[in-house]
Amino acid sequence: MTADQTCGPSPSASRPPPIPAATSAVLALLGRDLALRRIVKFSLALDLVFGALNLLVFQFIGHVLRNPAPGSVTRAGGYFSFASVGIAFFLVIQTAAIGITRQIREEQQSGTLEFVLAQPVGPGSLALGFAGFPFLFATLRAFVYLLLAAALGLEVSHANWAGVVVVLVAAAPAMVAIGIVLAAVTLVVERGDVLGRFVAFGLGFLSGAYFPVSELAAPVRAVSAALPTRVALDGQRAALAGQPWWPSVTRLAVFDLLTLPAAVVIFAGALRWARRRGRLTRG
Amino acid sequence: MPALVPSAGWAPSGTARNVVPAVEVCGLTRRFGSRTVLDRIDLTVGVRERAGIWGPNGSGKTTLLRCLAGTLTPSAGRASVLGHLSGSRAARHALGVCLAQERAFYGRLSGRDNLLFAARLRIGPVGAAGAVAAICEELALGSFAGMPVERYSSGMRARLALGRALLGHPEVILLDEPTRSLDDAASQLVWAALARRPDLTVVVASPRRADLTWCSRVVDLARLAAQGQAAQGQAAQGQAAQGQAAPGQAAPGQAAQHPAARHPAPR
Repeated sequence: MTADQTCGPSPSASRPPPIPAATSAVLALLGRDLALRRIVKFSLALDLVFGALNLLVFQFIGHVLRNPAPGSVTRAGGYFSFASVGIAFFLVIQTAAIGITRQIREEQQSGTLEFVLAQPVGPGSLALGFAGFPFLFATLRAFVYLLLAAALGLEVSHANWAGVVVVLVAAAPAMVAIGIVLAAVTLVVERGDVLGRFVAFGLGFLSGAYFPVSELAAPVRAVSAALPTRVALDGQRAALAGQPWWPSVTRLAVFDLLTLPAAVVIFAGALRWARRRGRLTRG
Repeated sequence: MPALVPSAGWAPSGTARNVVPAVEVCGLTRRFGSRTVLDRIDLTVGVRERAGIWGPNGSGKTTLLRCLAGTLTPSAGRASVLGHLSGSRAARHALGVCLAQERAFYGRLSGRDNLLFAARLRIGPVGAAGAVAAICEELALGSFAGMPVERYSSGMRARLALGRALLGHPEVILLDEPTRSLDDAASQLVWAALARRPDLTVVVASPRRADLTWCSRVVDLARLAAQGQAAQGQAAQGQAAQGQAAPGQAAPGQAAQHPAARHPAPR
């Protein structure tokens, strides 16, 4: 037997297949993405829902601009000033909600959440620790946004800046409580990040971030009145317009006392659930 | 309930401290949906003992360690660490854990920052930096501790994971395949670090018998499950006695003694 016969390729078998055409690689990549996106239908439905909600918001805005209710928008110094404060505040909620749900999800996937929970740390510390940074970061972004809005024409000539700060500080625990509940939901629900987006959007919608809540139907207005975000937003607008903001601070203090402990209890419950179901880690 | 007796390698001192076992598992069962991963496991590990948990892939070693660490709640039964229910704050304080070592780091942070984070959780801000410096020196982590962990090799991560588990002077340490991805020299570093801590109780899980030669006692998890089932009268006793155990194991009701237990721990 010669060396060629020993080492060379067999004439009949094991001939390497030809290099596939470029299109087959594209098809393979597309097929992979389709396979990876097992919930593609869900994502599509979600985009449609968010699109519809955005249209609804603009419908309300259109109505406000056509028939501005006395008070609300004019008191804030025009629609731009009204919406600027609303969007800045909504930014806090949205950034924090997305930040905290993404953080929890990443920690589940990386395994760091399991490591942290194996340490001698109580659920209260964990909850505040997880929610703290996203909200501080979001608050900073909102301040920058307000400064930018002021440069573009946000009415601040009568602003009580001390009031703005006090309202923000008073609102912080209640906002953090919302973040903690979202973190708890992310532990329990597979698509907690999506739910976070919905909650942020819903809070902005119901709290009057884009249009006065007087535009909403009476039952929805009742829900709105029970939201700390609505109270905080009213307080911010009042402080920026140089109007009484103390009532909002008092109401926020009550919200803080109620919501923060409740949120920690919910978070502790979610941790127990995740330990039972083995959901501290996700693939 | 068949409790495993301490092996010859474990020498109880008779002090009150040793009355409470370091690790105690009673009738522990863990199911994931319809799949039972651990079925009525009983296990006792004495204080200062070095116990190995052996079993093939999928036998439930990591699940058992997670139940001990308190990050997974048993479906039935209970586990305790130094008399504290697993998952309680006292139990977590007593434990150092090294689970899923490839995954459980913040990749964009340096190894030192990861250790500092862990030290602050376990020790608090005062003394954390000193503890990290000491562990870096002991495990020779200094040359790469400043690098982001995402650039680490598997071996570097394994050493970092052990260092993190040793922070805060735990009384019991749980190690899941601690020498996977390590070369001989790095493995020696690991075993030497544990040998320098004679008061530390060590529970090591691994599918490779070579990893467990350092242990004073090796427990076959599959065998342990069979014992638990037999004791409950729900498994055929005959099967349990017919050579299903790995070599070197004792009969049901006795400690599963690995031949490697005869070897002294490397110093």
